[in-house]
Amino acid sequence: MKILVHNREKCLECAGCVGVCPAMALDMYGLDLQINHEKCTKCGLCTRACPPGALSLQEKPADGEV
Amino acid sequence: MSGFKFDTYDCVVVGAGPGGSVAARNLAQKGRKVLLIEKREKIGYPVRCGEASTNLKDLQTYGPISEDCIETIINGLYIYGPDSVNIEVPQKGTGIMLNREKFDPWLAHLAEEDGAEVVTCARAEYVRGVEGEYRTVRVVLGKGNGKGSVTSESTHEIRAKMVIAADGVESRIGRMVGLDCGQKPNSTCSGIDIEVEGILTRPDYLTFWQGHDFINDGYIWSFPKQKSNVTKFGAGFLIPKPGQPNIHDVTLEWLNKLFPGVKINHMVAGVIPVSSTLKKYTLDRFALVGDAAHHTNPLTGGGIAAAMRAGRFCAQTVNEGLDAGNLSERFLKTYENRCYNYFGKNHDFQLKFRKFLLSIDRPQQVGLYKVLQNFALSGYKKTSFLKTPMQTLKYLIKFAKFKG
Repeated sequence: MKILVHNREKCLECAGCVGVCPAMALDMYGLDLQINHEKCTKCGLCTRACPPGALSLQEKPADGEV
Repeated sequence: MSGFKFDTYDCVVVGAGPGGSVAARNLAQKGRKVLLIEKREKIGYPVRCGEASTNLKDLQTYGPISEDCIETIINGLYIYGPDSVNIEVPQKGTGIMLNREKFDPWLAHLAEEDGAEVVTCARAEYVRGVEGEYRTVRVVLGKGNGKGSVTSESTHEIRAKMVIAADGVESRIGRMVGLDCGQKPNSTCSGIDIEVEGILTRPDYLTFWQGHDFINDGYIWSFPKQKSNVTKFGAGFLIPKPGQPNIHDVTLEWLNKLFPGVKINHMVAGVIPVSSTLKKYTLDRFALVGDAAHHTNPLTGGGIAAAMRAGRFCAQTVNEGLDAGNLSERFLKTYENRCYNYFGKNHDFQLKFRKFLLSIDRPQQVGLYKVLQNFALSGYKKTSFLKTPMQTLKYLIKFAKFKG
């Protein structure tokens, strides 16, 4: 089971991911990206479009881990 | 700021970029009650742009541009093409380099001076369908921390006779009300722009690299900001396919290859629609402006002048609609038509040209560059094409037949 992970350090806050997300699962307020994991279809488009490569699909950690 | 002055407006404009601010200002000038909301804490920050624009005249239709916002007057283009076929295009005043961190707040301030209410840290969360004479916009209002981060504080329902969404590449508002304005993978560019200390290339020229290796579906740029004594070095390409290198790594690789050892100040990013204008971007009491309507040049990715022009056309049409008591989708088509006639037609042509460039093979691309090189060398005399009649004719026919 994969999950979309946002690397805040790499992010340049351009919100390009918001525009390409076909599921409208992403939004940005101020400089902070909000991910709606229920809407996210894990299609990976945002991970390719993100200019600095701040988004990635990763294996969901087991419960209890961050 | 704990709220808004009113709960009902003639027009709510979402997004205080160049398109939104121009639309808001033009409506406020006509005495309309306008609310301009911006989700960021600081207008114009972070910059998401290479900051090059077309000529001053194109921008100044709005009024004179503050000297403070202009970094460089551009007097030509230099393109490093494939196989060392380079093209120099001298053209006095062909463009300007802007300082967007100053330009965007300046435009919003003009709107405010003319009577628009400008509120930052305000995010449009939802736009409802038309009820009577109004649409309702649900706005989340927050507090900034001074560095750009915003914490939500309250939610407000605001009614407006007209909603203009100039919400940029995010294009969420349009999609909420059913327009097909999201960015599609094969017609969207992803870009990185690195601010480098000092001037790297000719100080009054925009310099490009195109047609090298894999940088075919985009270009690399070096744009000088003279006043700040920095260069914006960047790259923009169509969204990479799975497994292709990431735009950030490609840009840094090219920077190090072309200008090793330079000092990097900071980096910005952005995503640009290169599909040409949407087929439809108005609904009853609703219109998109700028990047949200894909008002960007599909060849160059430039969109500042078009967004401002669209903002003006939109305000003009909405103002006429408010007078006529008619803001139907049908009425607002006038706005779409005004944009199409002014820049849309040209953008459609540029889209065809971009696709054409991608469709031809390497030797043909080099040949085309040579034809264009001759044209530029001659000082844009159409007779220059007569020097290579067969070549020119071949490309003209190919292009005419090309369906995109």
